[in-house]
Amino acid sequence: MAEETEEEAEFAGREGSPVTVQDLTRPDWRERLDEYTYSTDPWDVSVTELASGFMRELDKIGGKNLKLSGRMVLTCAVLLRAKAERLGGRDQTDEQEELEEDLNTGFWGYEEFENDSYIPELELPLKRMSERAVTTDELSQAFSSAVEVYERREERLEEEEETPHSWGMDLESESNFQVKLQRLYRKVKQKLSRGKEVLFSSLLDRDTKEEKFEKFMELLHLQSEGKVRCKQERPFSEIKVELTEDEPPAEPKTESAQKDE
Amino acid sequence: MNNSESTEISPDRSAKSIIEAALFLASEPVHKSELLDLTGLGEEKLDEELDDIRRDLSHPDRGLRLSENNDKYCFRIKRELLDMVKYLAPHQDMSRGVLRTLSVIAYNSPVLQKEVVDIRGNGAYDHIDQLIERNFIKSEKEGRTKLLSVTQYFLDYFELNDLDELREGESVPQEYL
Repeated sequence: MAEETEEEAEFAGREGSPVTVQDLTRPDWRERLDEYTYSTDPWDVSVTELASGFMRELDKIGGKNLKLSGRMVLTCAVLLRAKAERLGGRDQTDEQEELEEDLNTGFWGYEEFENDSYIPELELPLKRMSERAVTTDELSQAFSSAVEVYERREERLEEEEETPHSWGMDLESESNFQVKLQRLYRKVKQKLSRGKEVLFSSLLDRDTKEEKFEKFMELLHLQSEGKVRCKQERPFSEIKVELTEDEPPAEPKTESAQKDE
Repeated sequence: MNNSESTEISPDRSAKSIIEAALFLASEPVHKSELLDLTGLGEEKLDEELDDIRRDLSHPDRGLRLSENNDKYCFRIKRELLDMVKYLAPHQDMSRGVLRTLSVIAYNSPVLQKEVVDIRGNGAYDHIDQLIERNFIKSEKEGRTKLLSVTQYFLDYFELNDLDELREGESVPQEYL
């Protein structure tokens, strides 16, 4: 009895959603959910909070508790249904009666749910869905909000324009790019002096996406200038680079030349 | 007054009650043709009934008014009561995006459609169509774009005499007018 009182105090005292993911881990989860969900307004239960708690719990346990996942899915479904019914203005007494029927027929049990072709009956009540006119204050607020959104968008665009895209190369500096092309071309020729074709990966200075992108762009430029030819035997396989027939491979470097470089 | 008189519902009164029930229940304004079908009245008689309802509601003791727009009718809360009770019906009768687009047009009316789209983005084209459909704004051809301005219905809806009343508010960003 004392334990029950403590638990009640715990549930009564907590803030936010009256149902948490911890409730779903208890053996008496069905009863507790019934008690704390349907004794209050289902709209007081935040499905978002519940789902976030569930995700955190999943992270903790490494996503291996299928029982908890099943309970979570069922709980959210029932909560959403209860919320929808509340919106539709269904009579509370009928709702409670139906829930009792659900409990008796095992609807709350996920094991039974798998074999149950339960389809909630939709009854559209004859109730006015109130929509009211907009006030002039709201129109004024809407204008201020529209202006705020516009200004934020403009600021973002300005920031984007001011911040150069870092694609691994400076497109604005033509001479800089030409230097890079020449350097890569020399490298290809030097590598080719040791074989017929050179692997793209061997041309990289660093194993980063930016470096791969930068070097690939430079290779494409070299190819469009007719200096090299790139080949890829199948999608995503290694790219092989060879010199065009007009371009002779470089002489092998001497040790002193390598030191100079 | 005899008993039979007190319980008898005259055909006219019955039509009025049907109109009231329909306008109360409908989530959207009800077209006149719908009311004609519902009541079985002729157009002239229906107009009389609607005038009668309008007159009844104009009494200061009543909280509703009969709103008409493009032959569509609905009950509205009287403007002076709206601020007091609006929290009871949090849903406005237009979406937030459409309302913002309407506000940009209203505060700058007449305004080029292109300028509205510059401020509100491409979604504004759809908003403008909806606002024209609901008779809040009208559009006229202006070169390669359109000139948008609010309608008399807009002024009636917000119970404004003119747009200056709207623009006088202190909270309105003046640099965008």
